[in-house]
Amino acid sequence: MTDKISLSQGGGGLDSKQLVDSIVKILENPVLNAQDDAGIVSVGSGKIAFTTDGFVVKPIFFPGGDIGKLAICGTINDLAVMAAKPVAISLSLIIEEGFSKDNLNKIINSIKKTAGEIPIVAGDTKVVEHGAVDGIFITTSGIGFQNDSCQPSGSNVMPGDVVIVTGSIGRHGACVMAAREELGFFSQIQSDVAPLWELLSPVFKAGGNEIHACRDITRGGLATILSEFASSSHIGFEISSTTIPIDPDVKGLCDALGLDPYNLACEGRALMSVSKKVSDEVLALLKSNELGKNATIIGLATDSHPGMSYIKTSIGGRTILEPPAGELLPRIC
Amino acid sequence: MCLGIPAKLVEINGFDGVIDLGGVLRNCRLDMIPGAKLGDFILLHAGFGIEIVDEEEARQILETIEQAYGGIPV
Amino acid sequence: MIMNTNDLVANLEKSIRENVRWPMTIMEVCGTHTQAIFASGIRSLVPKNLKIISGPGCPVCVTSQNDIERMIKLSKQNKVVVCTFGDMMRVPGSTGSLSKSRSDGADIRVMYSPFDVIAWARREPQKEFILIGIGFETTAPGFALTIKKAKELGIKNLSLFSLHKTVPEALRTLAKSPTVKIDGLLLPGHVSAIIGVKPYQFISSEFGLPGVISGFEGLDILIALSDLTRVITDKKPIIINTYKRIVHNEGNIIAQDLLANVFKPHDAIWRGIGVIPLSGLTLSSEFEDMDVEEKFDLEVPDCPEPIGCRCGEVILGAVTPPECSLFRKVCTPSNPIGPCMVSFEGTCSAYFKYHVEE
Repeated sequence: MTDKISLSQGGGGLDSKQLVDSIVKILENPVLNAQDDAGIVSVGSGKIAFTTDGFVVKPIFFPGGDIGKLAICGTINDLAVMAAKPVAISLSLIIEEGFSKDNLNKIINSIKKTAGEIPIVAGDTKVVEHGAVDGIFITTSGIGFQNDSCQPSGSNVMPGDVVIVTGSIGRHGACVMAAREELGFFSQIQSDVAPLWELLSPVFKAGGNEIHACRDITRGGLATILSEFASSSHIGFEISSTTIPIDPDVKGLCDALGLDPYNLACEGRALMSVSKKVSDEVLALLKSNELGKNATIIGLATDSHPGMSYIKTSIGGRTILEPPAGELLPRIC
Repeated sequence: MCLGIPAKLVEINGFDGVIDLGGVLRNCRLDMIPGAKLGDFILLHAGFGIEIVDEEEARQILETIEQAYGGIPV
Repeated sequence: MIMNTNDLVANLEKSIRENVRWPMTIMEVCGTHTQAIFASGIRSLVPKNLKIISGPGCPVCVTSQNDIERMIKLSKQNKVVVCTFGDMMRVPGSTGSLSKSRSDGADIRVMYSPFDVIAWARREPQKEFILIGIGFETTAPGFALTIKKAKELGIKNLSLFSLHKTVPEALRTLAKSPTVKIDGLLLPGHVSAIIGVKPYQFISSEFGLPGVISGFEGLDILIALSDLTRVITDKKPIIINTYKRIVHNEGNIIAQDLLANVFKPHDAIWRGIGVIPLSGLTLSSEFEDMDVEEKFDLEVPDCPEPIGCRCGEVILGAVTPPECSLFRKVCTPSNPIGPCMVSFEGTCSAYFKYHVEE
């Protein structure tokens, strides 16, 4: 075991989980232990969801968005998937000396546009010497109101639940990978970065506490979220690979680079585990929104193999679906 | 050892080509498959076209299976 | 008339079940097959008495510790850029890995195609660009073309560290081995695209073993297994090509010519196996000046294998990963001890990822 933090621990997969677990163990409290996308804190008679996220994406400007849009969507979505209406956001910038003012303006305007009605109410700016950060790092935090009628959590998945994904997977991860100049792919795989509150709030309203779990699919991809749900809820999943929506350009890139789309990040997609009673209605509501038009049922939760997700392949075989270990590297061999 | 995938050849400039993988484009070298034509599917490996996919064989494989294993046509 | 896939698969499964009348062991040689067989769920579709073991067809897994140390040494040289496939980044040598070297400040770049490095070398003429050449006959022709082009263009700051190896010689070693007991071989589809069918004939003619050249889709592999189990049952030692849409009998002559022109065979060390005569490729005399060994001293202290690591036996199919005492307990994808765990196509990595216990 090494005594240094490795890059693979930022990848969102098993290595990242190890790092996060070690930190949570020290900080230790019931809210943090749940490791949901936002912490739920009781304030008076209500519940506030509170979340924070750091953004270090490269490149800063990518097809479909930029670090600013990503930073706002990331925080809105962490609140949204907890059925918490986003109320306010804070913004912290760490900027490398020499960073272009023009680029900074573009990013701030993108933040403003993406946040829309949600106010940025607090902020901080630091400038550090050249090389201390790579261009610009952004941290956003957000608060939202969660009401009693819907409190999804990764530990609430029930056997028999229907698993729904709100759209095609892996776009953001593929977009960022394709944008790596040294790999030589030129094309515009657009990131799927988008705020999810407008898509999800009617679903929470209609489904209430039949919406058992909901999480946005970010680093580590679909496989990671399934693994988190399976572990927190002590249930298993049976997923059908042929139902999982993957766009042809994302698949093409993954095939060329030997990447698994189930491990690639999204930034505008949610995975939901809902009671069978409401699954049809949830699907219809999602599909009625442009952002959810490709929403699909991809499988079921089961009590037969707690903690494990199995996937049925295109030839009818059955195999385990595991999250990635660490850094995703393109491969040839 | 050999991640090779079929990619559609959409541009040819001598031995430089451009392939399309479901909408993602990349340059590739065609030195090993000089007979490749626009619209062909080529086997792409590490930025090189190493073979042209034989469409007739690709189609035939299914017919062969049907005959050999008593397939049920749909 | 196109058959419905479910019916096709059902028929193939039935055929395999009928063919496997007694316990059979087949070896799939190619790391991409190892990965594809697990990912497509084929193990859940074939009868239990068809044992599928993995062979030495993972170029990363068979790269010796010494060679990894030499890569690391290269990366520490002044004004050097090491260009490698992503596969090689995390493989542990005895003092570290390329990934660790990069964290320590070495200029190491992941490439998708070695051909791209020609442009990189032109853009930064003050640095020496070193290609790490790994891969079998599928990949080596691309490196050959790159070296040839670079020479034509008069590029002086590009060199190759060739660790390329060739498959037929390794298959000969396997076939001769007293510890490896197999009934047939699943042969690598893309290596075959280059070398054709003929180089495998000795497997059946000298060793009485059948082999089937297979593609990599789930359906391709099922078709190949159906044919392979049939010829094993019928005791017919022949070589069959089921990947006809890609593999021609004679292979790709232009690629073979590139290999013959730019490389020459030499003895190579396969990790865990030892020296296999004439199984490696080194630059021919015309291109010697682009060989990294002409430009740098690659001497490294001898590296012992990590204690307890059984990668060498794993790649020969002599043991399965769970039989290694380090597997899963100490050696994991996050903390790989040997290359079979770190390579995505390594047998240990696959067994770990897919929770295979035996």
